[in-house]
Amino acid sequence: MPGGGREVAESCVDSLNLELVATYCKRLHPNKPELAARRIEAIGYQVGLQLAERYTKERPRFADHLEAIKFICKDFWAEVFRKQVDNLKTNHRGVFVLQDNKFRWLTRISVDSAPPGEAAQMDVNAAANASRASQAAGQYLYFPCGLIRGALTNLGVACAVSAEVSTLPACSFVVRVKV
Amino acid sequence: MEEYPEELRTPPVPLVALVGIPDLHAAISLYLHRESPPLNTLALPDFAKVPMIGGKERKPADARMPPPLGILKADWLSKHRTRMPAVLAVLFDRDQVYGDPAQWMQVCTHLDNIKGVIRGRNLKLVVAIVQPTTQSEVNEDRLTALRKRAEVDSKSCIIFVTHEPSEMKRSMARLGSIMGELATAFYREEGRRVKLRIEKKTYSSLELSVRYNFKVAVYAEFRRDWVAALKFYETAYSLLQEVITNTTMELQPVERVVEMKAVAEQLHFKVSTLLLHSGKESEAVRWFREHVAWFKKMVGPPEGTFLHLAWFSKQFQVFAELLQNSLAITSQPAALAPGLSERELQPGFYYQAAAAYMVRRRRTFEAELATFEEFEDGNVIDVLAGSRSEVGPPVYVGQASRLLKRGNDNHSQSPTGSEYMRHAILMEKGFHHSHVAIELLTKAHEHFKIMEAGRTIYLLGSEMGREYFAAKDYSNAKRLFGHVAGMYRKEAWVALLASALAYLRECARQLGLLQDYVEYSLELSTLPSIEGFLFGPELGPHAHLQKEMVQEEVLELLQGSTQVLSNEGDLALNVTDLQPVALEIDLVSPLRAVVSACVAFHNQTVKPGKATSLTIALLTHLPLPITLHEVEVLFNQPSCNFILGRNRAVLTSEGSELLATDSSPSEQDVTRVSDFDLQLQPRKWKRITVEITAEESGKLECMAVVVRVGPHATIQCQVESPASREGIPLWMFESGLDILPMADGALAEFGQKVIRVEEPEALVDIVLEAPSPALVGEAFPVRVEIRPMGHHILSGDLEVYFAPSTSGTLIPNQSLSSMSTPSPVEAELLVPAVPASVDLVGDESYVKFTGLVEVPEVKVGESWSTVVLVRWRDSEAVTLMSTFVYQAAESGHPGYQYRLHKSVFIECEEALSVGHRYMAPFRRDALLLGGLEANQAGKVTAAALALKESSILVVTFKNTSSLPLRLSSVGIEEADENKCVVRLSGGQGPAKLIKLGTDHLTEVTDKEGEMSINQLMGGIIVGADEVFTQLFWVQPLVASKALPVGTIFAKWQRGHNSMPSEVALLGTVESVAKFSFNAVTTRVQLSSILVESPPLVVTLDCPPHAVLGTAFTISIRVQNLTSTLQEIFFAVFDTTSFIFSGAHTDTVSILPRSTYSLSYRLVPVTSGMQQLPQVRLTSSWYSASFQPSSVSSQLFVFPSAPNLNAIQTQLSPLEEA
Amino acid sequence: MIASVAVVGQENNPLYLQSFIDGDDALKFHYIVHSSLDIIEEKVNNPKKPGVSLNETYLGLLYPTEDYRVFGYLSNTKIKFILVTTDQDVRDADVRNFFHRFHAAYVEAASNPFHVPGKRITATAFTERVTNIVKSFGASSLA
Repeated sequence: MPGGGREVAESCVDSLNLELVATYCKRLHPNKPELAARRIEAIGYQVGLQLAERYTKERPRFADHLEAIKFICKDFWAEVFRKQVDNLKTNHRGVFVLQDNKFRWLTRISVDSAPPGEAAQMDVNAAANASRASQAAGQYLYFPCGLIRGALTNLGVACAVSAEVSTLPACSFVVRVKV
Repeated sequence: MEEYPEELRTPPVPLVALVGIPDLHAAISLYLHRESPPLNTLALPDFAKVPMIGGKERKPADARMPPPLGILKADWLSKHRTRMPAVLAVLFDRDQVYGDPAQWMQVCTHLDNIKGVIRGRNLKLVVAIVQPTTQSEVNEDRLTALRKRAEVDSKSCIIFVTHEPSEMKRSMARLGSIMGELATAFYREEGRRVKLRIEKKTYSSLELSVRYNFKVAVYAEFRRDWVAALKFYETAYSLLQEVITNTTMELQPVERVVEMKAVAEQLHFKVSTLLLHSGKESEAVRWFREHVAWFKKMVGPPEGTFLHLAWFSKQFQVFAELLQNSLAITSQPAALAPGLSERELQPGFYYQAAAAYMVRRRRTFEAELATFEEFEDGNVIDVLAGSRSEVGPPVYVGQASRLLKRGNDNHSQSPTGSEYMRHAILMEKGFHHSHVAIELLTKAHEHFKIMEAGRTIYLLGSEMGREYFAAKDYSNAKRLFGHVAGMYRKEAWVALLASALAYLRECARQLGLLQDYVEYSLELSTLPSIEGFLFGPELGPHAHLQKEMVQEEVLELLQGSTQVLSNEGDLALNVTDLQPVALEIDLVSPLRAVVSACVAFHNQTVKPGKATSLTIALLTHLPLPITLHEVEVLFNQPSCNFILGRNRAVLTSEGSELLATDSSPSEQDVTRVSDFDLQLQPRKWKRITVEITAEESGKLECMAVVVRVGPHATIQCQVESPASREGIPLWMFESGLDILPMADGALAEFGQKVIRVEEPEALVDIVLEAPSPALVGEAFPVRVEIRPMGHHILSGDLEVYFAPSTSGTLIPNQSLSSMSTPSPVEAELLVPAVPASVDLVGDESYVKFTGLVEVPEVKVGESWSTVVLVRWRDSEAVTLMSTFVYQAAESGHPGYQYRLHKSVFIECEEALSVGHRYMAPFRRDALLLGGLEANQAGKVTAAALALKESSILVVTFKNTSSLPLRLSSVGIEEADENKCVVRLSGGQGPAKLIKLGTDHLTEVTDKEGEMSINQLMGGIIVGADEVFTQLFWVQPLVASKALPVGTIFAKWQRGHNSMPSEVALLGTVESVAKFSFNAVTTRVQLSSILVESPPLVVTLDCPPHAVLGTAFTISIRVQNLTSTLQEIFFAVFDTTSFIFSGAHTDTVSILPRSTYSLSYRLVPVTSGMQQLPQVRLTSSWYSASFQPSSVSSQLFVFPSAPNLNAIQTQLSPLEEA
Repeated sequence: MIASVAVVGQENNPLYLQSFIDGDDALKFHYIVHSSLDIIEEKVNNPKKPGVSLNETYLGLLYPTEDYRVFGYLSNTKIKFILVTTDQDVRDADVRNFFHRFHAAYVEAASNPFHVPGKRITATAFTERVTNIVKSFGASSLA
């Protein structure tokens, strides 16, 4: 993960995420998907907490939730995913939708061809259709969801984060602020 | 601040003196005091007193003068404010001045004396000539002489008029202004004089220059020149600092240090007062900050440290008061100067500091006092505490009082150092430090409360508590620390909490509160990381807390092996049977760290009487291992409670095999398990898994765990489920991973302290037998049999009811009576005892079923059964439920009711569907206007029949069920014989009841339509989907719009070949299948018909058949039934198969009640079934046209003459027509 | 000279508190730091007060005690950093500089995967690093 001067090859991050999903969804809790999801999300959460600590170091305090979310969309995203969020929507009642048309960590996911990562969680004879793709991708978004939730929580925005994959590699994160 | 002398606290006011004419003095001094700026007046009763105001002769200061014995003269300030006037006003009566020479001489001597007196301190002089009125002649040269004598200029010599109020006022004003003027002048001159000395430097000692600057400042104050005053005070202050820096304080005797600080205090007080008065808060604050910073080091010799602290505390307190007063005046808070913090503008801040110094003062003094009392022998008296006659006030500010008995110069009079110290210490001894400190803290608290500075308030609270503790006011201390501890618990400030607890513990000890003492000790010893702190010096030896020591002590106490004494030793804490300790730890208690219990059942549900595993996990955060005597586990079902003990106990088989009951009568009902290692290691879960058996069904919840730590000491703690476990608040912030209470991951994640105990298994079987499907209307038997499968049924209740077939789930305890929706079925019980009395044919003989049956005792191996008859109103499938509640001989505790349910799903079908239709006689049609209208209108309301014409009624009985039915009889019951006659087709006999199966004519036509006659045991069998048809004649006798015809009825029952009609109801399953169903009568009301008398009846006469080539005649007879002439237009259409002659179209008139016959001769030209020429008749009157149906106008043409016999049967219906 | 430094967590719970004055009054610093949280709250809740610019992490002088001066710093993640100095006049620049290094050290420590966020910091590495920062306090002003 980039930051603090020292850098890590991006492939490491990718394969780490792959291995994470493989370990929890396949090996540890093969028949408890929601438990696996919770575990991965929890890891992401802690990382998010720590990253927020790091990336907000040199900046004045945020006045309100919106500023914090903007920070996530711009700087945080840039740090972690090497780009900014493409679109931020809100209903002004505590729900924010972060739309990323080319989410970095999904760019290398494809379904019909079966790289080891996908093979880990897809049965072999699966028809490679969009729903399966997003379902497959969904597992790889547990970690980012936790990441975002952790960062926001650390910035004083208690919230719940869920992700939706429309068509790879686009995906959107829904942030529901707890009031 | 209050202890400051008045002259110091208030700005000085010029002082003037009056002499002569005393009775005016009061008025004048009052006036002058009211004057602004005010003047204080010193009234001299007579001229003899004048010398009093004259000071001593001033000798010029020179360098050879030895340094003074003190810095500031103690009484100098007050002297100038109360005794040394600036101006003297002399009042003469005009008679004295203008009187005879003797009086004049008197005046002169007075004046000379006065001049002599004031010359030394060039006092200003005012001469006033008092006269009653303005208009009185003046002796000018006397006046000038007077001026000369008094050496005053003209404006200082005034006329004072007394007897005219307005004039007197004016004179007063004149006097006041001139006096004020002169006073100012006087002080200015004095100031200048002293300043001159400073500039000339005619002396060596710094002390003097401090003094002189002080004086200049005071003179400036006298003339309200604040700026100058401030300037000189500051100089004096800095000069004093020089003095101090030149001397090494540590080596100075205490009294000297005290003196210097006293002076510094006075100067500083003046400075800050002036600053604040000019609204410069920030500057004042900064000045104060420097003041304290500078003097912080100036402690002086160690034995006087407490005096130093006392002085410091006073500085803060005084400044706090000053600040408070000035803030009270200034509305808006002063702008914050850079480098200052918000707090420094808050009086509370200084009160707090003052209190802090007061506390330090107390502590240091206590130490000082200890050493002092070591070496001091009691009988040495404190000389400075002597009476006024022996002890005089000090000469210089801040010095000790003088011992007047010793000599008469300052040196010999001043006490020795030891005397001074002794006095100081003894004075300090009588001083209530704590009370003062608490006062200060309370003041600070008031201020911070306004600012809502919560934590600061708690800090003050603990400081107050500490002081209360020092003052041995333990209950107050306990109260305060109680609050404080709450705050520090909340924010997990362990060290601070520990300190509060340490005090609380001591308070509890001193107050002899056993329970509290134990709780505080336990909480204290379970705190994380509190080593290396000194928790309050007031605690003495207990200050350095060792968690381990605390734990050991409290545990010994709980085990009753030791007791704790209060300091005085009069209160002893010990745990005995008379005063046992029972702690209760709920989920929010701070004592959760002592013992917290987590309990999880290994499965969610369990059968009653079956054992399940239960894991109890105990955790302690005590620093040392603790051994529990026993652990009692409490459930919502007390029967399940058990005790884990260490000692061996008698094994019994009560409850689960694993548990053993204690033989002692006290806990007879509580089962006890022995031989457990009940030692809890610090921060390691102790997991104990036991088998537990619940007898009662329902919820089984583990409520609490009671651990016994001593013979008379128990701790009860509420248990938690691992799934919803809260961490120990203080330990959550401790590094290191939290260990899960359960070894098994699943239990740790989802383990619950609640378990559901299922209903006990009923060892009885219910058999429900129903030969589905049922048919609507029949009494359908369902056999209910109860078979004990191991339970000996003592008594029981059987309940039968319906559940909506849509939802298969049963509705318990819903009997027929309490059915919410009107059920499609109705159930009837056939009393099993007397089956013979029941007539299976008559429906009314059934007893209405309540839904509830008493079941007698049934032993194992036997069985009991009954039959429930169900009758449907319409075909709807239902679920028949049966609930059996019973008591068994085997059940553990008597009166327990087992219950079980059984249900059976029963289809139901409609047995018969009855249809009918009317047919006009063959080739005979009546013009029925009503019918036509109805048809044109499109609504087929009722069949229209011609009056007195007998039409045919075809009735069909279709078996819609899936079973064969036996139709025993059908028929039609006429509604009214006189209005409408119904006859069997062919006219034989009435249609009341047609017994089928007898040898009169019946037809059974199955769907293929081929004939078959079935005659069996007084009825005919109609198979599934077969139709039985029966023809009737219907002849309406009266015209009517709606004529009721009658009711069709059909008596039927399930058709079974070779079945006996009576069967015993009791018996085996098969017998139910062979149960002979009762006969059911289905009734269908015939819809009423429309009857009218037709105006015209058309009959087509034609031979039954024709032969090719042979001519024959057909005739169409039109019957005019009206009494009028009817005009008929007819048309005949050709057909290819016949040749005929005659008119094709014509219009004929038919006479009333006569018949017109129109006939043709035809020659068939083709054979086979041929269409006769179509005839169309139209009644011009009714404008209704008629055309025979093509069916009725067809004729079979033989190629040659046929064989008649064969045709005979075929024609038979025709003959009837 | 620095008397004590502290890190206070989001729940106002102490995460790290180190005093550099030997003596039995370590407890005193706990009191000082804890009650200084009041002033931080005051400053944050009504920042229009002069002295602290809006939303700046550095909060400046919180208050002086009899013997010390207390400075505050509030991170974006509501972590409070407290500095207690003995000397009466400290250069603002020094304090700011100190806080930035202190904060950096904390971030490093908090980013340690073995550190559970919200728990007390016990890593010796952190302690050493902070000690160094404390030692070099004010040195920059000389340079």
